Amino acid sequence: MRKVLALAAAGLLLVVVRLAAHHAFAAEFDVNQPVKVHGTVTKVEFVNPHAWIYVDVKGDDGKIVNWHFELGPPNALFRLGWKKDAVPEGTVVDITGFRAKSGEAVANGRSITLPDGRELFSGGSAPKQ
Amino acid sequence: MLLSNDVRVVAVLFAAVVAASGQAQPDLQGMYTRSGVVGLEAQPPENPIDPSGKNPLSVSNRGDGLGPYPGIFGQGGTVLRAGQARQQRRTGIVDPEDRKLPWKPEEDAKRRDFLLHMNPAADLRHVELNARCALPGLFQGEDGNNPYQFLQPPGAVVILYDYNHTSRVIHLDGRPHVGPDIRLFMGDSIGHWEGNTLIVDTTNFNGRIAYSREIPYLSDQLHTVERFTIADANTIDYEVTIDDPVLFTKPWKVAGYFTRVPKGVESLEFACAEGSQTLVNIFGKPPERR
Amino acid sequence: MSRVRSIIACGVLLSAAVLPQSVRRTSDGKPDLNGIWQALNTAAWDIQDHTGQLGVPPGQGVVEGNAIPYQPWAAAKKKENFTRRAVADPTEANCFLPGVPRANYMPHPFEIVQTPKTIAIAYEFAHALRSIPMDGSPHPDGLPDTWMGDSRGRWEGDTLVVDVNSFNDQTWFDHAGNFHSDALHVVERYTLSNADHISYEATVEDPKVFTRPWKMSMPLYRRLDKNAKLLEYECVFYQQEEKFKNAPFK
Repeated sequence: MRKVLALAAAGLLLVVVRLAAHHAFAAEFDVNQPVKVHGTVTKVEFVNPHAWIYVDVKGDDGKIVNWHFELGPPNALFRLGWKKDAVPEGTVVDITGFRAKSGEAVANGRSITLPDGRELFSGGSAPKQ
Repeated sequence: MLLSNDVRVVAVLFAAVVAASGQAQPDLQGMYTRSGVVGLEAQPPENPIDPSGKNPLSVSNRGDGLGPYPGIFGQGGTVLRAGQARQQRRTGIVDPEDRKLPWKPEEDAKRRDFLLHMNPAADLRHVELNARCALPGLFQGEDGNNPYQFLQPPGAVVILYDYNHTSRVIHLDGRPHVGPDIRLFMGDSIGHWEGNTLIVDTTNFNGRIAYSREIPYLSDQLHTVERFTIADANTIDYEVTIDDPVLFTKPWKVAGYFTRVPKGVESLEFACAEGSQTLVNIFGKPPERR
Repeated sequence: MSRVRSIIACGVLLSAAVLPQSVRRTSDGKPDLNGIWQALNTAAWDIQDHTGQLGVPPGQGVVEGNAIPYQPWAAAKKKENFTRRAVADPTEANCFLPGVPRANYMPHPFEIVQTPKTIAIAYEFAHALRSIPMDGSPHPDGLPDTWMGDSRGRWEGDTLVVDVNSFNDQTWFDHAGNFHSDALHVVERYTLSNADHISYEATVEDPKVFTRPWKMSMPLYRRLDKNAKLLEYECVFYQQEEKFKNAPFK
């Protein structure tokens, strides 16, 4: 970690981030542990400050692990038209993310796609209800 | 004018009553987004927490395209800002104009060192305060997702923040600040109107608030003066004077503005601590106590 | 002169018809609930009759008829909650938002902010907050479940009626383990009995947990202290300071 900090010393130009009010990802999740899983949704929780999506993933050993993926604020999702029951249990998804530094089956979700390539919880594709 | 003393006394009393009842307040009630209150210094320090693309520790530059957060998590703001006219208004640090904040050199050195211990967080004290769901203290940074509601009951201006369900009650009745042994994340605010400007004086901060990613703490000697000026039917201009004599040699000012949201936008609950796993994600589970 | 006197007399009589003369009205003619209020009972520990024990003051309950009509499975669950309450009460163990109506009888003050279009209630405990639209709008469809519910208010004469739903199933009604599901629906009634007292009622219904609706009622008292002000009780922060004081652990 200290080696990486030394690299950061050269001329940082900070850019204002739109989500500055939300806390930083970097302290909680490990950029060196990207994860990519394919599994079945068991639950979607629209709770603040993060929505969560729970996915059953079969490991190489055949055992099923229930991964917890942290998403962004559900209020944003609701305002975009995503209602609380929008993603049914049993939906098959591909999720990418970064694992929590604690090492648990917890990650910060980045992209969630359905088998047909459509992206979940994306601004353009909230289903009409 | 030749008014008798009695009539003059009655007139003064009448004016005071009307003001306290709220009838004399200019009306700024409604729901707003907040823009531009970003205290970004001219030469900001190195910051491992910074999520921008220029920080090797952030994920913005990764070849696999994974950014700090998928763009949609800012898109709640597209609903809040729908129909708002583009505005060029005073924003950011406006005093000093060169945005070089008047740090005491030893305090600037301390905070730059503090930042270098925030990722990984050396201990609880070095964890970002808004990652702990603490009350925010001052308006800070951009916030695309969370509106503000201004209410004016008799004798007060009340600001409700969606963000972490925060509220501020600003009394206009001329009462003094609370005593010095009461310390608050949000400070103690008292206000008065001058024409179309609400002036809010806040003291009694507890020294446990951050100002920004680059200014991770302000002291308990912080004193702020805010000016909310009704600029037009849809806009409130905002300026805060930040006076922290422990950290800075003189006060400095940041500006921004509030803009009305479209009709139909309502407040939504933002429960923070209830769903937060942040401290456990950073440090692991605390030992069971019994 | 006598005609003016009789007009004034009529006005006085009319305004006194529903409420005592001491009750102020707001600019839109409603009873003025603005101010800081607090319950003075022990409902936060147990909403039913309970005997004193170490750390728990005795109290006469606030539940009308003193019986909570649990379905059989739920009565067993309540008993289990009670046994585990020291770690299982989300509000006392974790400082989580207390929900409705518990927020109104926590041993902390709260502030009612009343305007014609919106009434807000700000609570000192964990800075809980409720925003109550008074514009006749319906509960939104598909709202994420919330801790403090979605509130919609209206006036029925001089009584503020607030309809609350969209709760999650996470809050308890008290420290004794009384609980509900996400089907909870609460209807509150706030009536000023005089300038400094609100008669408060909350009707609770939850078809997943109870066999019928039931009601709590209690007075709420205006805080008359000079320059009374809501302060901050940030127990999440205090708990973090304690639990993580020796972090990191790994």
